[in-house]
Amino acid sequence: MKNLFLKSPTGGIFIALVLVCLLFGSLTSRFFTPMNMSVILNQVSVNAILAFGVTFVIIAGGIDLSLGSLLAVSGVIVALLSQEGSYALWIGLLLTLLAGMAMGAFNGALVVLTKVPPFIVTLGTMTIGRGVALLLSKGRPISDLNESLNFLGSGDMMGLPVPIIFLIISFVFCQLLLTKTVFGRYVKAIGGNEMAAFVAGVRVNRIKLWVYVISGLFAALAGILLTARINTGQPNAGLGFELDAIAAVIIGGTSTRGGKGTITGTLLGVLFIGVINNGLDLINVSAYWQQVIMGGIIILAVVLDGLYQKMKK
Amino acid sequence: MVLSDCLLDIKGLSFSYSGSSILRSVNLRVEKAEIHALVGENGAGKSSLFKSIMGIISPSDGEIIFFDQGIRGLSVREILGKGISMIHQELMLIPELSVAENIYLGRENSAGGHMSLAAIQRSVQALFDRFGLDIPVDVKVKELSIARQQIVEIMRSVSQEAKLILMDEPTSSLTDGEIQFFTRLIRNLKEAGVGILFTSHKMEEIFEFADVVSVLRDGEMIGTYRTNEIDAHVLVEKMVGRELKDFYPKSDVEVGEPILDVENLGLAGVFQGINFQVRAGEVLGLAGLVGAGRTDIGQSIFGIRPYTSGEIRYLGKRFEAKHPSEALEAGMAYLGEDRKELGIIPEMNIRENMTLGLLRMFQKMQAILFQAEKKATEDNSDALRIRMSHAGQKIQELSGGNQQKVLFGRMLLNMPNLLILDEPTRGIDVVSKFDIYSLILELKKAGKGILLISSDMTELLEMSDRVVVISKGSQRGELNKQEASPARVLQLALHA
Repeated sequence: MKNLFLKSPTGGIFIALVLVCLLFGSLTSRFFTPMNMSVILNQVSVNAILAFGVTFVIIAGGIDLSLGSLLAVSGVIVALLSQEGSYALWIGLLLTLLAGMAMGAFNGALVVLTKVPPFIVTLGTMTIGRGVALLLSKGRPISDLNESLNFLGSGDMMGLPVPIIFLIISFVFCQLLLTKTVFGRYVKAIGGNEMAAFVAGVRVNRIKLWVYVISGLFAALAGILLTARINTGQPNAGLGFELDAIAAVIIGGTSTRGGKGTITGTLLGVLFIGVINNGLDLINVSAYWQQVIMGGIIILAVVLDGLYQKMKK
Repeated sequence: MVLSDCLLDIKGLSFSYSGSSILRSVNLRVEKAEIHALVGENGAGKSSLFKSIMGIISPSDGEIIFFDQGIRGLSVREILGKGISMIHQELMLIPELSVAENIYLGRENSAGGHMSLAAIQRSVQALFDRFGLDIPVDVKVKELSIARQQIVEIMRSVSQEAKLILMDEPTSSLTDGEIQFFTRLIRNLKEAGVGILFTSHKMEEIFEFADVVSVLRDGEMIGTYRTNEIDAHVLVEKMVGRELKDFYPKSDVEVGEPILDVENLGLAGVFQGINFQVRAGEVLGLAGLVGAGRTDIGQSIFGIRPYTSGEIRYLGKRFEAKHPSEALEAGMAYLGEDRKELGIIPEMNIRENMTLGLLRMFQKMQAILFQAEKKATEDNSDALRIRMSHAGQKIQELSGGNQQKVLFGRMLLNMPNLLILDEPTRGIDVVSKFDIYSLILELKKAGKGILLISSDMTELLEMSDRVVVISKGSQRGELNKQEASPARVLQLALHA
């Protein structure tokens, strides 16, 4: 058992997460309450869903900086389609998810066809996306939304807030996709050695296209949840969210050079960031200091994990 | 104590690592001014022996005596100070510094006070003169060829008054011409009374310049032999521990129908007008200098760089692969010339590497059938005699020869009719080489067609039934087994 734990690639971040939980638990009695745990999960759900999607991109050796903008475009689209008295909810959701996949496919196609580094491609589509969100919404927040959409953001099902249910479903889906399917295996292969994967007969371009489609799909899902929660389609939503999501993936042990990574690690990374935000709030640290501390902790976590991985060998 | 010519005397040295014995009571003597080769399969314990001598790892038992003094347990620094140094496979020079500065690196402020650059250069020049080296002492190391860089590194050891130099595969990255340069230096060192202990996979050079050769097998010292009293064949048998009939195994195989027919094949700007046929049960060799277009021909057939003119008929039908997956599905298999670049995914395990690109054989919808995958790869690994602890081991932990066997395992899984092998034995140990030759023979017997590309002339001529010679992207001739002599092949290959 001990051995199993030591061998796990996510052992380091798991220990770090436990340590920060214990730290905040000892600083304030309000931390370890069922209520607060549910708050944390609810708060991290949007970042978690973004991070799960982009984990595939990063493992395949790419990057997606357009997440925050795709989230905003999707949030605006779902708001436009969910105006009081317009389409049925499911049509709006379906079309928004398809739009997310289409935007992801646009990223993927540019990466595959132009051979421009994904960092540059998605930096461009990040700006394009933000513009599209503002165009679609005419620069204004879109309100008067369908009641049933709001349920997705703040309702309860089976005793759990709906966003947490989406988080769990997304986690299971991505975990299975990465570890149990041909697609997941080939994503890792491409990140590990793209040329070797190509020579071995892997349809490299097709897989690369799909990882961006998945990233777009989950950005759209995150956009839907955020719009549902704030009950408004905000063209400025999700600014900088891509960085939180990518930070969570890296903290979770996925290599920035591609080839290895886990969804469990990403979940732990998301929780780590979420717990620190929540804990600092609870002990009344000012919002300015929170950012300074958060940045420092992210660097520290990655450094410590590096040492831990070395120690295991 | 009697004064002897003994430099290094190792007695009963043992070392184990996480439960397994790496070295078992090894004895080894190196005399003054002796060139001593150390051979063995990958994993036989050569590098552990070197690391034990240098104090990098701690042996569990035994003695290491250097100049009648026990040195086991000393630190790396103390051992260097005693006069033993080691040349690693990866050179440890600083590319931006000059030759002289590299040689004196870390010793500019020695007992005699600070040395000026001019003084360092004079001293190094004197050293180079003594060994008849014509390397300029003031150029940056990065401007030298690999061979010369290696000599600089050796001279650094010499200038530190090393009495014994350990070299790990010193010639592995040298060209034939450079090896001669290296050989001269080694002989000069011998003249100067320095002992040299080196590892090598190349039989020719062991017999060319070593005085004695010691064989390690599975951590045990099998014996030490004078090179003029043993031949290569017996030496390889000692390394493997079993009899080898012929290093290039052969048997009469009946040649069948054509498998691959290449007509007037061309790839714009790379090669053109290539014509040959590969039939069932035969090996067709592609000979030529590096860069002549041989690799590109193989890659064109397999769809890595689809051809732009001419025609291929495969199993009697017109065939054109636009992507490697199409060639695989048609029953071809390909082995790239550079294992690290075109072959393995280092972070993945043996099983995942073996089924790469072939998961369609082990999938239901999108789900991988792990049990079937595991069984197929394990059967394959046993058949290929891959040395590994389990199929879940990362491929980068295996030796080069075993990595290559995993790639062969991948090819065999596809049950190919045609195999395109580009440099199948480059950089692997002699035993794995023999295993691969035996495998090629088995494939021939099973009626497969094989297109072999190799820069190892002996290998190419011994293994091929016919040879097509390529020069500058054009075909210069086709030779049958009787016609194909090294001289004739080279003559065609050099034909401008």
